[in-house]
Order: sequence, then C-alpha cells, then structure tokens
Amino acid sequence: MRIGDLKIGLFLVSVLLLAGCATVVVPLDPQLVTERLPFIRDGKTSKEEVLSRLGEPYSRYEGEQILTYVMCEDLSLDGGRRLSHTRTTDTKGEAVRCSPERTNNLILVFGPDDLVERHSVVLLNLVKRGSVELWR
Amino acid sequence: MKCTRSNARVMLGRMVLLALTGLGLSGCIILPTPSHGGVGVITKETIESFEPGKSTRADILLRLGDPAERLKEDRFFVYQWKRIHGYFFAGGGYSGVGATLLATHSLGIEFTPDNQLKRVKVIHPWLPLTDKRSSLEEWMAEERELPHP
Repeated sequence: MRIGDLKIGLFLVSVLLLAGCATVVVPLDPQLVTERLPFIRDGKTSKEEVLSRLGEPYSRYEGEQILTYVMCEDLSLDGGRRLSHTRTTDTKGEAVRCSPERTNNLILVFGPDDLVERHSVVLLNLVKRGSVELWR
Repeated sequence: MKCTRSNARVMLGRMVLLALTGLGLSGCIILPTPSHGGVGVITKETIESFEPGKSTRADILLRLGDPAERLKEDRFFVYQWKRIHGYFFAGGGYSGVGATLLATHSLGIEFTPDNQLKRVKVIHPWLPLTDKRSSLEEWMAEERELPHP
C-alpha cells in the first residue's frame, strides 16, 4: 500500500469518527458549579469578595453589574475537577493557560446591593449527533 | 554520436511521459457536505429559548457566555461558531493530504436601551468561503419595533 493511500485512509477514518460529534455551548450544571466554586453563593457573595479572590474580570457589562471571568477546567490532585482563573499566575509567574475545549466562562450577575444575584459557568460540551438539534 | 543523441531523446521522452502520468494521477477533490460537527455550536433549542421583550442581556450572558463581538455600546452582541461544510483531498505520487472545510456561523443579538432582547438573527454560510459579515451588518442597520405580545 502506498504511503499516500494510507494517509488518506487514516484521515477518512478520523473524519468518520469525528463527523458525528460537535461541541455545543451549554451552562454547567449548577450543582457542579457550586462544587467547583464553593465561595460563590447567590444573595451572599459580594462583588468585593469576588474581585479580591478572582482579581480583574475578563469583561464588564451594564456598569459592572455583570462580570465575566475566563476559567480553566483541570483535574485537581484529589481527582475531582476544579476551575482556576486564567489570570492567576503559577510559581513561575506565568498566567494559567488552557486549551479552547477546556475554557469556561464564569458569569456573575450582581443585584443593586452588589451581592451575586445569579451566576453560571458556560462551557463547550462534546455531544454526539442526534442528541441535540443543531442548526442545519 | 547519433546513438547518444537518440538516447537523450528517449530519456527526455520518458521524463515527459512520467511527468504527464504524474499529473494525470495527481489531483484534488472538494467534497461538499451538509453542515455537521463543529466547535462551540449554539443549538437551535438555545436560540429559540430567548424571548424578545422578556429575555435580558444577563439571561443571554448566563446561557452563552461572552460574545465574540460587542458592538455599538453593547446594543449588539455577535456569537460565532464553526461547522464542517465539506472536505478537501489532494494527492499525487506517494503522498496525499486532506482537510476539513470549516465555515463560520453567526448569531446576532440586539438589545433595547433597557437591556432587554429586541431581536436575533442567525446567519449560516452557504459555502465555507462566503463572507457573511455584510449580511450581519445589513441586519444591524435594519430598524425594527419589538413584536407586540
């Protein structure tokens, strides 16, 4: 068999395996958000606390009533998953980086009293064909 | 002397024949497919869950995260994702390559001055290389009232 045929064959097999999959934008289950970011509680956590723990947000909307952070999802030492802010720095002083498929978005909506009113973590979730209805 | 010239001609002829055979056997193919797969896809179900006049900017951010673009002081959000629209294969001699043809899909969202959803527009590219930016800009330039409940 020629090397070219083999390469094309491997490519076709990979394509067939991946063609039925897509990553869709979905909010993470609220229970999992609580497990991974336990300090954020609706009606209790203040904006000041969020800013002191997570630092400068990635984006601000509506006069800072909505703040967003870019988070990485990693496996922690105890085997569980954890979210870490991409702007936090490691021991070498470099910002934490993660691959696009592991990038999550933390959204915090504050009420007039500057306490967290609602929050969510949006992530890219791998789905198989037929499990969700995609456009066209 | 005559023999050497004859050999050179035969050699040249063979080289031309080899080149022509190579060209004949090599080539490329573009295989268009219905759009499928993709990265960061926003589902039809998600988009249809947003209600003009009821959903707010906060609701959309909580569901979709940061937009790819924020325009006109957050009056417009643009979200984008990529889907596979076909495959490209090229081969020749002992080698070959293949690649997926990706196209960018866009979701435009307009908000009212009191932060409520006004309207949405989903733009699907027909071909991977077609530019849908102008369609989005035309849509943003349209002025529409909120639908009456």
